[in-house]
Amino acid sequence: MNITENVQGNVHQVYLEGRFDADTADKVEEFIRKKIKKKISHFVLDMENVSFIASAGLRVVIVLAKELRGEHKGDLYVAALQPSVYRVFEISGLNNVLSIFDDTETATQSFN
Amino acid sequence: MSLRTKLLVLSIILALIPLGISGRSMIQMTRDELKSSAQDHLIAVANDITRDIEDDFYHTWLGPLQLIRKSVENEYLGAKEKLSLLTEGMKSISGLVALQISVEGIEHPLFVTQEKFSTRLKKASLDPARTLMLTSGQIAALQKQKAVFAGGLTYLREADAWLMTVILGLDERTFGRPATLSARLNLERIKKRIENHSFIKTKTDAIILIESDGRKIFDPSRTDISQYSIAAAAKDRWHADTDTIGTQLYIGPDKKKMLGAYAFPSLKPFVETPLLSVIVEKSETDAYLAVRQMEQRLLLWIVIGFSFAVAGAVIVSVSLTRPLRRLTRGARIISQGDLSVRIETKGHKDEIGELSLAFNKMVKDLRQHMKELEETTKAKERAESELKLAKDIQESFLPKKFPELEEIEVWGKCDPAREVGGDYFDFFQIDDDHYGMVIGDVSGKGVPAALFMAASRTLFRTLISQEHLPDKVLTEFNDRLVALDQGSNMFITLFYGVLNKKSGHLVYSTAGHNMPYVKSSQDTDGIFQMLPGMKTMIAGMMDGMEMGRAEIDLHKGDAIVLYTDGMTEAINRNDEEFGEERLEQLLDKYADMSAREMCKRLIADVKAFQTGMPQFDDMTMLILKVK
Repeated sequence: MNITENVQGNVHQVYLEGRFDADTADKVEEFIRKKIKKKISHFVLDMENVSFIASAGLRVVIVLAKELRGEHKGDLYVAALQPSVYRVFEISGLNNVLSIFDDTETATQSFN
Repeated sequence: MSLRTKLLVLSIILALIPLGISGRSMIQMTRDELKSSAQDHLIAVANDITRDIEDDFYHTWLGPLQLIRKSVENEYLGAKEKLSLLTEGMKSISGLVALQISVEGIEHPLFVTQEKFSTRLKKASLDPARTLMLTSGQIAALQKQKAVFAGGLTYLREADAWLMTVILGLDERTFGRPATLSARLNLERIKKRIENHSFIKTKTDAIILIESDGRKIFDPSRTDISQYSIAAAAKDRWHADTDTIGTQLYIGPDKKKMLGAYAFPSLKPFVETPLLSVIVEKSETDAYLAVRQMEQRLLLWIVIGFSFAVAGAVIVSVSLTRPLRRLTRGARIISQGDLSVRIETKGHKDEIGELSLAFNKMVKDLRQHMKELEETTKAKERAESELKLAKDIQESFLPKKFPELEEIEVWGKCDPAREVGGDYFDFFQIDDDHYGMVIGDVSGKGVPAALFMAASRTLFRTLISQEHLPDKVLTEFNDRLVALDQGSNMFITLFYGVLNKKSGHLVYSTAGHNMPYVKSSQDTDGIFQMLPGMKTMIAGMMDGMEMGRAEIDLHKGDAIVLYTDGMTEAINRNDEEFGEERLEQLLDKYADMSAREMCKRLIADVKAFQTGMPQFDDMTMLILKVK
């Protein structure tokens, strides 16, 4: 799992690449939690290059989104999902609680 | 060959080479030196005797006789005076036993004898005058016109006396005709001196005087020894011009090795050729006694030196290899599993000592590791037995037997990735006609997932006894779970369906779980298809979520397959997913089999698919077929 970041205003765009499973979920969580500690509260998770998401990945996304919404008045948007990944969001019902966008640009703009 | 033997051989060779070389050359040098000194000694003795004889001749005899000759040549002296001169001379010259002046043509010579010797002759019944006086014929035969003659050795057996004759020519002018002065000399002095010489110490030591014909002097039987090696050598050199002296090694009369030397007393210029030869001999054993003793002593020292070298080699090789042997022994003991070994390192501050220290440290570390390993193993065993217990408990949550019903056939199987897992399924009777079927998947796996699953199961069981509509059950389940669990951030997906076995009517709902596959003659053209999704949300994350509800009628020959994503998300070595498509195809392929057989085959297929890869997730299936 490769994680890269691009900051645009107060929005941090986090680009993931690879499989988002039990082995890599912790890495993503740790990466974003470090930012949250630095009072960053607006994230867009770009998953254009994520081919697979496991339940552990789903857990990280929903937990972080919940936390950001609650305590930090922020949010975690999800963008650019591949169809197979979107299906997982759909099955689990996370598409109903998370803000999912077609691309990172749109997601970033909708923060403002 | 052991290291010890090698070291021993090397040390001995190292000691032996210098010892051997130096010993050998030392023995050689000293032997030569001592041999030549032994020869020198013999020569010195021969020279000593020679000088004594020469001394006798020149000073004792010839000198005084010359004086007498000078005196008697005085033409003014009468016969009486001459006789008194002879008498006086006789007294003053030691060993002189007779003096006579012979003049050619005169029958009676002037003749005097030593009184003492005459008495001795008389005692032996010999007439002194007849015995000692020389006839003119005898004189002529001996002298042969020479100015000085010396020789004519005679042995008087009766008186046991050795006599020598010296004839000096007298001035013809004084006597008017040829005349001679003859002297008879007793060689007793020389004989005594030889016999009492300090050289003679043993029976084989000998000092021999021989004449030029090889006959022994002072030997009453006048033995001819000219064939005897040393005498022959002397004879060969008899007429050499230079002063001759020599030594020789030869075999003596009684087969003994002898060392001999010879020398010739010189009477020059009076007599040209030597009168006699002095032979000195000694057995080689005696002569080279010092050589032999030295050789023995040196040999003894070499043996002692060699013994020390061998002893040193033994000590060094043993002291070098002993700690090595101890190490070997220690290593052998360790290999038998005894780690209480400790190598003695005291007194060894060399590399071997360091090796022993390292060895001891290794044993100590090994002991420590073994102890740790033992503890770890114990802890692991404990954990394993606890885990086994947990597995048994968890398995008791899952149905193993399924009701044998007239209308439907059900079978399910859970295969956890580890000992315990987070998958859940159940099939239970609600009332006479209604049966519930549920499948769930806790996020994660292992013990935490198993615990969360246990809690979820209890909650679910409680709810189904109060509520019959699946969507209501799951909505309530989610809210309760969120309320129950604050902070673990775990969630569970559930699919729950209620079937009327008589009508085949199925009402179902899902909390974020994969939708089941259904084969329906009415709705799916008799092949397996996934049920369409609905409003849903995984349970345990957010409360207030409404779950959707759907219904379907199952008829004879229809089937529904519930599963967890451990089946579809299994991965093979090429990083390919097993996938829904493959599952769908296999379901169709196995559609005519019994529910139990289908379960067994599908799980076996997934396992075969992921051969060589670890099982990432728990796999669970629940299959229901309408008879």
